[in-house]
Amino acid sequence: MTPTSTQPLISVSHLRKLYDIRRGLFSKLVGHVHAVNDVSFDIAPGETLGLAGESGSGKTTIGRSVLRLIEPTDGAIRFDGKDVMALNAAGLRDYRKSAQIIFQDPFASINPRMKIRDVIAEPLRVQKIHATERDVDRRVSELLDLVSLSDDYKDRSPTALSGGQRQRVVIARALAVNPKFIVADEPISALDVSIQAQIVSLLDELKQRLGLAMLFISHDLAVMEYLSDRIAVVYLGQIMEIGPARAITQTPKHPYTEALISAVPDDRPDMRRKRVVLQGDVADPVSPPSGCVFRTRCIYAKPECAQQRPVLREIAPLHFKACIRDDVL
Amino acid sequence: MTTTFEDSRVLSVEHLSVSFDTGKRNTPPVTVVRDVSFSIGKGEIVAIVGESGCGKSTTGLALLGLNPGSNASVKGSINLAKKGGQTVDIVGLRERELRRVRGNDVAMIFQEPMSSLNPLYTIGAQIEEALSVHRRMSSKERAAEALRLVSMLGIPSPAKCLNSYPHQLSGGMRQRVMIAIALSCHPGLLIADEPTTALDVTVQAQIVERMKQLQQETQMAILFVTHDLSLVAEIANRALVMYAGQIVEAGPVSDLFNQPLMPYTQALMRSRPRLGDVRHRIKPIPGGAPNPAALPAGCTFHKRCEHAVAGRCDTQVPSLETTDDGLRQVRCLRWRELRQVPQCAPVLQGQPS
Amino acid sequence: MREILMRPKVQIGAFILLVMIAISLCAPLIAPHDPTASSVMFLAPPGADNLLGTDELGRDILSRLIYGGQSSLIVGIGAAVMAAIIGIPVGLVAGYLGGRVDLFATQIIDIFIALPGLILALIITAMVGPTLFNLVLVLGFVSWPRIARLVRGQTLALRESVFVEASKAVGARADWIMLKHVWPNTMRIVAAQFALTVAYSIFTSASLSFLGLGMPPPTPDWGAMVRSGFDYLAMNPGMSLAPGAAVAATVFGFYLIGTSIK
Repeated sequence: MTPTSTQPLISVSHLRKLYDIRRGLFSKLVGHVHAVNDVSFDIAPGETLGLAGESGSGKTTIGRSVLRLIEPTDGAIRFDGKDVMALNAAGLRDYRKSAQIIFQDPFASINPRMKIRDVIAEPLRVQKIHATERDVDRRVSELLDLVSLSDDYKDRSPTALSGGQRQRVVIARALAVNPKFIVADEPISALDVSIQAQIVSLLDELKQRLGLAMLFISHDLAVMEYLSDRIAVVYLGQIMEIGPARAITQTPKHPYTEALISAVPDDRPDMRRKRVVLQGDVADPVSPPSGCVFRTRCIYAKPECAQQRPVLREIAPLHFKACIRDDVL
Repeated sequence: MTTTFEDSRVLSVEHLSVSFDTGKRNTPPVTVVRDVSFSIGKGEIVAIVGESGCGKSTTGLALLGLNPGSNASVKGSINLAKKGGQTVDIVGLRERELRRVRGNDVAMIFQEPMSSLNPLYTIGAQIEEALSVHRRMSSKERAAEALRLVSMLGIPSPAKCLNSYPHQLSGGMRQRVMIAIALSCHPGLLIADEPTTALDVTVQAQIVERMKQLQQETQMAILFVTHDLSLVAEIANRALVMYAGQIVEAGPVSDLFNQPLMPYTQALMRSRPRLGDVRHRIKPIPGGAPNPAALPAGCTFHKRCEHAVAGRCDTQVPSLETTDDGLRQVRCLRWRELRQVPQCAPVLQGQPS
Repeated sequence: MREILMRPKVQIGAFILLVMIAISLCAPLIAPHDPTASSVMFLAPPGADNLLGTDELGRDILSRLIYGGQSSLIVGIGAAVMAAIIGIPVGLVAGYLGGRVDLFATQIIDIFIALPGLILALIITAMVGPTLFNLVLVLGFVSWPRIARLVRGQTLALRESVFVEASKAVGARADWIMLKHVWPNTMRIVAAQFALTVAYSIFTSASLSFLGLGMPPPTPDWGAMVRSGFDYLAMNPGMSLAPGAAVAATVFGFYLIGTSIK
């Protein structure tokens, strides 16, 4: 686990999520998809942890599991000292006042038949936060202002809004209950390029202004480095490397991180890293390779790599990697 | 009318305009591509870069006569060099002749390979089908050629791949299959419309490397349509920046990135974070892309431009001007005066005076 | 909503229905004669006094035609309302909660849909006796499963949508989600099915009365009129054709609306 200097806001230990695979007439259990396979990390108050990985890495599942939108199979999650896994329905509802989520697709995450005012007010009404409708309305105006949308958006229908505007509404809704922690699940991937920049700036400004802790899930490493304090690199449901954002992107210590960083195109020829081209495709999450799951694509793999799953060990202050080799990076 | 290109050009587009009928009465057609002219030489990789709605995809589709539906009207000329050496104008070609050209002289790969592959047939069957359309081969020769193409694209276990169905392959493999199909008849020009946008970054790197290698070997020209500026820098020799249906800047990639002349290009570069760029605070471009049915007066970018001057940029329409060395083009009223101020590295934070 | 009203099919259907409903409502004002008054002038051909002639008991066919719409419309709309009252909640709950509740509900729904509606209605009506009230109940009972299945299907799909997940993420309970998210997105399809159910119910009640199980005499009823006109087709075809056309027109009107609301 990764200790931080202050008491962490969120502490995840040995998180696991397995999906059953059933075949045949009687739905016999034939195996599991190891979507999340023993993941542990901490996030301090006001800190942004980036979760980097490609498709099939399990990063989205991790994000949803931390909020218990997906029920973890195993593991412990502590939020502000409370045991999240032990919460009953009422406790879970309370948790949702402090921990919120921003989804990827701004077109799918808003009910097309609701007016914007009701979309943003929903958390307030569900959680019964304000006593009068007037207070709710006032709060909605505040929130619209926070995301730089004018007040007349209240009466509009989502179908009239662009992707970027909708995503602002989604952010406003997430902030309605004054959460301390936000899971941002690929919040900009579905947006157009120049709008992405606007939302990234908005998120940056908001998290500083409101002191939010954030779990930022993305496959865009440049944006992740820009917004995150620390980054965890995930592959096939396991954390390969976790450390300060700059360290991960400038001096990666795990072969997968190295390949990932080198794959990002760059227009500055002198800044381009020597490209490590991985062979083949991602391994099968149903039967992951023994030992280190990355060894089948790793250019530095040795026979010993197949024996045991490498433990995350500290190689520099707050910088951990799961690799048995120290001699290559 | 058959002519040939005197130089080694593969494509010459002149004053291309594409507009779509809205279907509503009393509304004029919407022009999505306006007066676009450019050419591609043999072995060159040219990128068209811009955001969605700028007309880049429509331009790419027009080059193959693929503009959807009967409500599209295409004007101008698209002169494509065919294998025999003659050129043909795609605009106005009948469907039958277009079919002869497609796949043979010019091929296209799309962003979403799943929609271009028939889920009911094996990969091998689909490659062989493409081969049988344009080339004369026995079925044994076709099978061998399919195997060769698939291996050439770096697909592991090529024989197994040929026997698989599209849904059994990953996105990266499917895209490689698409490239194999596109290359099967050795076209002189390949049009790639956002081919790696839907793929993971490591897969994108693999495919880009492979495309560059293949291009070196076959000297095929590539027109690469994308919104990713960094990808453009990695893969292209020349780039055309499009905004609101027009080319707003064009030139060799290294010049473009060292010193972008058009404020939109500069703003685009300054708005993205880049790995390792520690000091750079990104500066998003305010507002949104203009609606092609209701374009602003004067320069289409003036409302979002930090260098816009009232009275000029909102009334005068800039034309595409060429630099003195003839290598670059810019569509901006103020580019010469703005060039005086050094703002080459987009990393600078301050505003030029 | 406005856009739906602009569609030609909807406009035609609505026009037909408005005419039918208006005629039925204003029956006492427009009908030239008392529809139940028999006279000695039976089986008279169409003439000045009786525009469509008289039936075998000397009653004016036109007046009976005009009044006949009342029971048809009441039965039709009433049955659809009943079907909706049962079907919508069943569909919503089964679709949203899933599991055993859903399994149970689906079995019942499937059984009902498999049985031919007309036969079922026939059997039950024969047992309980044909009155207006019973007809509404029986036809509603026969029709609710289709509505339930439709609502369930929509609910299942909407349950997985991102905005429902977003609602859960802010702590909303199942009833809130069903009311605020699932139902508003299901309304339109239910409205379409409602119109079709009215069409079906009117047709089925006309069939029932054709078979002798409709509204008891002397209440004018289109189906019964068609039946009694059968024996005298050669003399006055209008006796059967007119009420038959009336049923067809009304059903068609609801059908047009139902199929174009999608």
